[in-house]
Amino acid sequence: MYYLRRFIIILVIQLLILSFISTIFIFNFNLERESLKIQSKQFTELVAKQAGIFFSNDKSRSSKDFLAFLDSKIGIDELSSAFTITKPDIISVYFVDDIISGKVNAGVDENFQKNDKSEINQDKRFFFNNKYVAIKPFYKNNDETIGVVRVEVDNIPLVLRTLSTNAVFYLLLFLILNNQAFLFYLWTKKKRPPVDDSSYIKEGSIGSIKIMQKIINQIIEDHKNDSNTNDKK
Amino acid sequence: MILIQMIRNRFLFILFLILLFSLSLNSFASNNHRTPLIETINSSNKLEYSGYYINKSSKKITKLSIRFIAKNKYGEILEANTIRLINNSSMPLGPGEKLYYSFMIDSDPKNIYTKKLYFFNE
Repeated sequence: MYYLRRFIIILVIQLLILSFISTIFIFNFNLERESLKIQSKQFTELVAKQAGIFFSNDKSRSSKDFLAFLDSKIGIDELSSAFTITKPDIISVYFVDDIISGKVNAGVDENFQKNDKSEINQDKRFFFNNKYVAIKPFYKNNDETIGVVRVEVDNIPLVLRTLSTNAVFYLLLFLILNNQAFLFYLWTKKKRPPVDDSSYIKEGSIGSIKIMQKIINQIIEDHKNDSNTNDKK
Repeated sequence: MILIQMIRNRFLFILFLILLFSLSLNSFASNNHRTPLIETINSSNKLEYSGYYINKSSKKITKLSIRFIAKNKYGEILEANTIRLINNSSMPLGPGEKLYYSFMIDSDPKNIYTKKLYFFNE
């Protein structure tokens, strides 16, 4: 029972320390995620602007021609170079008539803005949304909406990135907090009461000592009597 | 007894560091040399993809393929295709060279919720 109680206390302290480190981890992860969101929005805005320029004049809606246009204007490799951790795989360009007719689910509302409640914009696993979706409409002559640009980025590599970059910090924090917990235990540890001279003898053993004393006294007396009779002889 | 405990603790510590190192490697492995694809809906109402593959390595690529996986909202695979982009050792993709590719998928666009792309090269 004594050991079980100690084990439970240690477990609770370790859980407290780990929950504290987890809070810091979530804070770091959210910072990284916010940074990725800003990057994704800027990226989508840039592509949407180019799409507006290109598709205002081009009626063919060819992905090949738009890719060549983007490559000539910005450079397709340079376009995603701002993303250091996770890059968008696909830049989706959907046109208004395809969205209205229901040919494609773009995850937008009636104003062609991102609909956060749409299922296609969510991928919930491990208690958080695993992807971030940035959607920007593009316009013909800055007036009429002709389509949207949709970009998805994966959040999972961010978890690994946050963990790997801060691993040493978390480890040191774990060790320091454990050390602090141990120092706190030493500080609050109860002092043992001062030991009396006679307290080392238990009550039960006093009786047996008395019996032993009696027996020894008897032996000594017998020995004395024997030696007295020998002297008389 | 104390010595064994110390060795065991050190072993666990090193194991922990190795795990973290491998996790960090995983996070960078996902960031390979790929450029984003452009997705549009073509005249036959199918999803059409166009992209470039840039060889950023110092070696020639003699075999290159792309695997595309489309899933529905329940996570079930609707379509999975592997497309060979280079399969000829006589026409490799040299260092710094760029290859244009395009493909189309048959699944209904409105049923596709998740798309995954993987490149395989040799």
